[in-house]
Amino acid sequence: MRTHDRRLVGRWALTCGTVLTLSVAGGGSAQARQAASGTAAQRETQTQISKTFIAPETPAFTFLSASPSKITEPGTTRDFGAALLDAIDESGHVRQGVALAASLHGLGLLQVPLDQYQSSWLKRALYRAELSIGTSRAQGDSASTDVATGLRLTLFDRSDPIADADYARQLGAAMSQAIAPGGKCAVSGPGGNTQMQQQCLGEIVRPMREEWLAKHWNAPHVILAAAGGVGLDQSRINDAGWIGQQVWLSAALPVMSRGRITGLAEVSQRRPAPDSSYASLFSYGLRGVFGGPTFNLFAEVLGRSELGSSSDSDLGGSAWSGGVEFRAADNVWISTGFGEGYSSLSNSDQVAILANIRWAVSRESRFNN
Amino acid sequence: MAGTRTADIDDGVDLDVNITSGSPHVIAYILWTRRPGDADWTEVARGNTSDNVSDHHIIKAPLPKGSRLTYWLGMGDGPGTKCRGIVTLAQNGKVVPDGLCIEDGKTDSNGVYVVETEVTLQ
Repeated sequence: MRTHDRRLVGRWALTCGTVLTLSVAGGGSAQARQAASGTAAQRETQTQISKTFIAPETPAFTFLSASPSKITEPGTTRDFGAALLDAIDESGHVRQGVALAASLHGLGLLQVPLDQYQSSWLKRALYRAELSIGTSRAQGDSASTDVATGLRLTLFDRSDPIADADYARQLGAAMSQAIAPGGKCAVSGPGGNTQMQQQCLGEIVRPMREEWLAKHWNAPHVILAAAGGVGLDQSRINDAGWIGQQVWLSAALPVMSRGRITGLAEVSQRRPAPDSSYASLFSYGLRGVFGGPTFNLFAEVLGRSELGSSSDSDLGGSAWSGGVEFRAADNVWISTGFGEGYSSLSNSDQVAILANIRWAVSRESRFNN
Repeated sequence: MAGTRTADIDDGVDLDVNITSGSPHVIAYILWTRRPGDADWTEVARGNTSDNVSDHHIIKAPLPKGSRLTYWLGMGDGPGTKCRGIVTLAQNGKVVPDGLCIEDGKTDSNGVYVVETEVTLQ
């Protein structure tokens, strides 16, 4: 495999990492947005980390290769409209660095009670649909702006606790028991301290959720995301040209109780500027993991090929890697791998062994799940 | 601290209080009433919306003007999620004026949001 092929594949792998970062820091699902900390949150965080090969939470930002530090989430359609208007300055130029994320329920346009969420696939999918809009500086032209819009659809997800009617019943029963007279969080009359009650109930709800997630760590899912964008010459809104589109499809399947296979496919058709030619790429990643809380085996392959090009395209290539990692102590994982995905660490075309020892760098397993 | 609101009722008719979720969250709830002159609150119902038990609760008339109803809602699911609890006050099958009480919130890092509201029935 050529060195620059590996770089391309590595870059795509980095994109996966970026997707993960977005999903944890500013994405759509509640699970992804949790600011987890400490040992109690570790299992849930691991479940998030496990979704490395997953369609991006905010595809518009991924399309733009942007990692906005702040994402505006309007709470009403009016706020949404105001945020869009705010993206355009007084002279009709689109501002750079705009990052908007919205959902139908977040805007107050869709109300889905628990029973309907559990029983209706369509309502669940609509409830979890996430729209993202972003702007960024155009490549090679600081005065021009790229604008992208993206949509993410969770088509199937068995890793969503509240969609499980049995879990919801158990959660309701546990909460009722907790607030009953004599319960851990007994509420005996009006006028109590709701903050303390909320904190107390959290000590019931959170462990239940974490336990459910731990049991369903390898639950299947199918997620589709798409984004498209325009380039605005000199950031003028009336001088737009299409710059491309990108589609992601990710899926996960359990392999018995200890393993999981996760895959991500991506098709993109992009051009750096409206007047340049398109490059069409197909990228994929597949990872298999087998393990447990303290020990994991993994194998993965990343690949990319240029669509509609000759076989000697510079953009094609694939890389595989495999490895093992151990949890040495709380928050300390030792991992090592081999294969092409690790070769960059040794700057060699050959196998790299014991090349990735990390002390106190990762608080959770990179390869777990 | 409890929020407050008012609702207009017919004091000679039973009041139907219904608790539903407007979002995919489990709601545990408690209802209390206090009629004018009562020394203390009386619990009239408690339950949750994820069991197979009805969440309609009838408060028998008479409910003199100035009676108060307090509802306590604890909503639970994932952390940082927007949640909505709906308390509907109805008489004769119709929602009374200002009887649609919508409680919007966001769960904390543990996945819980608690709200308490006192409704003065006038």
